[in-house]
Amino acid sequence: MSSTFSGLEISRRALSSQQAALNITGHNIANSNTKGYTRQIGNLTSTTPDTISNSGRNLSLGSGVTLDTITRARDAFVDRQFRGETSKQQYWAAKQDSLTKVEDILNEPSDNSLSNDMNQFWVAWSDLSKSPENSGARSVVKERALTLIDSFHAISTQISDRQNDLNSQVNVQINQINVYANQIKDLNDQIKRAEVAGDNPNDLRDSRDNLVDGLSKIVSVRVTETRDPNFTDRQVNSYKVDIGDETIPQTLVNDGQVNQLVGDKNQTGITSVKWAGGASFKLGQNMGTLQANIEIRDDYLTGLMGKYDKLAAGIVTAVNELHKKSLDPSDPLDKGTNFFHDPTDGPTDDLSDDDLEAKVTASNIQLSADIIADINKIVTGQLGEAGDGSIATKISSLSSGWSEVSSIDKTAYGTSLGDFYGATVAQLGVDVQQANRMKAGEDVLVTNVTNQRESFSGVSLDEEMTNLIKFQKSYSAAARMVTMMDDMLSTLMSMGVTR
Amino acid sequence: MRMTNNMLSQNLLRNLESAQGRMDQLQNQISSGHRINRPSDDPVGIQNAMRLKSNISSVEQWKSNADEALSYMNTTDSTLGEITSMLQRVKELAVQGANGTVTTEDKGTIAAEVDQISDHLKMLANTQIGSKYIFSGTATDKKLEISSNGTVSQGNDQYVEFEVGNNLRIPISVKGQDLFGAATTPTGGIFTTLSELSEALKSGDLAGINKGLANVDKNIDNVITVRSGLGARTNRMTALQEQLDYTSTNLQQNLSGIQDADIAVTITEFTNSQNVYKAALSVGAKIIQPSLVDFMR
Repeated sequence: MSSTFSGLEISRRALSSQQAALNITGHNIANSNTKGYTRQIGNLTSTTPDTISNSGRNLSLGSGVTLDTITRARDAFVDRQFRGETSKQQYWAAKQDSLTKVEDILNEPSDNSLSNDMNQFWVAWSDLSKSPENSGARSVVKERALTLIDSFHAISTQISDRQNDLNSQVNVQINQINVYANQIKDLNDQIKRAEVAGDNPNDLRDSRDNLVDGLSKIVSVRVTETRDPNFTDRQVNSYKVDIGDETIPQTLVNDGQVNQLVGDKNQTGITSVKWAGGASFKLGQNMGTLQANIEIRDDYLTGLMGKYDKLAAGIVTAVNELHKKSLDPSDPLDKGTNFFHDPTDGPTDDLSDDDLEAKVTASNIQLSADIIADINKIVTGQLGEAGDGSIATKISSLSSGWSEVSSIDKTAYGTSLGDFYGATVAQLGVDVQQANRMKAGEDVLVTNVTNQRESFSGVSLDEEMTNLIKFQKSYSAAARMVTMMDDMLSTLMSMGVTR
Repeated sequence: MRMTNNMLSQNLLRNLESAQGRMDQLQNQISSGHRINRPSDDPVGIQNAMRLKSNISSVEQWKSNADEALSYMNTTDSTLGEITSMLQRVKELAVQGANGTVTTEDKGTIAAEVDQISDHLKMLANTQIGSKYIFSGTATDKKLEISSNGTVSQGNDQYVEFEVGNNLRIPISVKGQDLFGAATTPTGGIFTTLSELSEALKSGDLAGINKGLANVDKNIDNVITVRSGLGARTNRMTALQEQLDYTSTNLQQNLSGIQDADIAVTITEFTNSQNVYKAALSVGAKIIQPSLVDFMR
C-alpha cells in the first residue's frame, strides 16, 4: 500500500519537471539567434514505479516524472559534411578573391592596360618610320616606351605586393590555427571535467563545435570523438582534431594536448608552414583558405610574374636586335645602339646578347642610357640617311609577328608578343572563371548542408511557443492536482471531528 | 523538413544577394556598353578582342600613313608637272631659236630665259614638303646638289618609303637622280642639256640648238616616264588606302561583335532581374514577420 501523501509527491515532481522544461524552452528562445547554438531538449521520463500489493498481486503504480537528461539536437554526420564543404568553399572563395584582385591589377581590357601601352608603342614606331627626321615623332616613341616600362614596373610591383599581402595572411592564419587549437583544448578540459561529474555540458559543446567550424574555413579538419576507456560507468569522451591532408595523421588537438604550427621564413621572407616539432605540414587537396593563399602566393603569382618577365625580355630582345642593325659597316668597333637597357652589357662587354632573355624582367626593364640622354640616338634606318624609316617599320611590325627577328625563341612566344600576352590574360580569365564556378557550386552545397543543419539543430520559435503552452498547461494541471490532494486530505483530516 | 525562423531569413538574404549580384553585373554591362569588362567575363573573347584592338591600332596608323603618303605623292606629282611645263617652254624657245630669221640679239634673250628656267628647275629639284627635300632620296635633310654637268654631290638614290601594311613599305618618292642625274638619257641630264642649249643659242650654233632641241624632247620623255611611274604607285596607294578603310571598318565590327553588350537584350534581362528582386523583397517582408508569437495572448 502506497503512502497517503504519494499523490503530493507526484505533483511536486511534475511541477519541478515542467518548470525545468519551461526553463529549457526559455533558454532555446533566448538563444534563437545565437550563432552555433543547438536547440536543447529536456528529456522527461517517468520515475521508477512503486510496487504495491493488492489482493495478493503486485502492481506497479506510477510515481511521477523527472527530468532525465538535457541533450542537444545535433547530427555529427551533418557536421562533418558541413566542415568538408566549408573548407572547399573557402578554398575557392580565397582563390576567387585573389585572382579577382589580379584581374584588377591587369585592368584588361581598358585604355589603361599594358596591352594598350604596347599597341601605342608599336604605333609610335610606325609613325616615326614615315617621318624619321621629325624629332616630335622621336619624343613620342621615347615617351610611349617609358609608359610601357612604367606599366611593366607597376604590374610587377603590384604582383609582389600581392604576394607579400598573401604572405602576411599566411602568417596570421598560422596564428589563428594555433589560437583555435588552444581554445579547443581548453574546452576539451572543461567538458571532460563536467562529463566526469556526470554532467552533459551542451553549451560548451556548442562553443567547441563553433571553433571547429571556424577552423574548417582555414584548413581541412576532421573530428574524432571516442569514448574514454578510463570511465566505464558514465559517458566521458575524448575529442581529437586532425587537420590538413586526410591520408596522413596530423593531429592538432588531442584532448588536452596541442600541437602548434609554426611559420618557417626563408631568406626572402616567404613563410612555409611546419609543425612545431619540425615535421612538414601537408595541406591536402583544395581545402581551406590557407592552402589557397599559399598556392596563389607560391605558384600562381610567381608563374604570372614569370610571364611578364618573359614578355618584357621578349620586347627588349626583339627591339634591340632590330635597333642595333644600323651599324656603320666601315667601323668594326660599332656594335649598334641598344634601345632598351641590356643588363648583360658590362663596361667591357662585347654587347652580344648572351643570356638576355633570362636577365631582363618586368621589374628591371628600362631604356638604354644612350636613348635617355639623346632622342636622336633612336635608330630609324641606316646611318646617315635621315629619311630612312626601314628599321622603325621593322620594329613596328613586331606588333604582329616575328618575321624580322632571329634572336628570340619564337616557339615560346607564339605568333607575336601581343598574342603571348593575350594568351596570358585569357589564361587568367579561365582561372578566375573556374574559381567563380567552383565557388558558386560550393556555395550551393554549403547552403544545403547549412539548411540541413539548421533544420535539425536550429530553434523554431513556433515549436518553442507550442512547447511553452504544452509545459505551461502541464504545470497548471499539476498545480490543480495539489489543490485536489489538499481537498482530499482535508476531507480525511476532518473525519470523526464533531461539530 | 523541419523549418526554423533562421532558415527563412538566411535563405531570403541569400536570394536577395544573388538577385542584387545579377543586377549589378547587368548594370555594369549596360553602363559600360561592354559585354566583357574583365578577362573572366569571356576568356576566349578577350584574347580575340585584344588581338583585334592591336590590329585596329596598326591599321589606323597605316591609314594615317597612307593619307600622308598620298599628299606627299600628289605634291611630288604637281612638281613633276611643273618641271614638264618648264621643259615644254624650253622646247618652244629652242624651236624659236632654231629659226634662222632670229637675230643674234634675240637668241641672247632666248638663252637668258633658258638660263632662268634652268635656275628655276634647280629650285624645283629642292622642293620641300615640311622639312623634307623630296628629291634627295632618303637623305631628306640635305639639298640635292647638282653641278652643271649633272653630277649629284649630295642626296642619294634611295626611295622614301612609307609603311602601309604589316612590314609593307611602298616607295612614295621619285629619285631626284632619275630626273636630274647624269645617268639619265641623254647623257648629262636636264641641266647639261639646258646649259649646252644656252651656249649654242648664245653662239648662234644652229646644229647645237637642234641637238639641244632633240635632247629636251628626250628629257621631257624621261620626266613623263618618272611621273607615270609615280602615278602608278599613287594608284596603288589609293587602292591600299581604300582597302585599309574597309579592313578597319571590318575589324571594328568584329571587335564590337565580341566585346559590346547587346543593349536591348541586357536591358530586358535587367528588367527581369529587377522584377525578381522586387518580388523577393515583397515576399520576404511577408514571410519573416509572423510567427506563433503574434497570435498568442
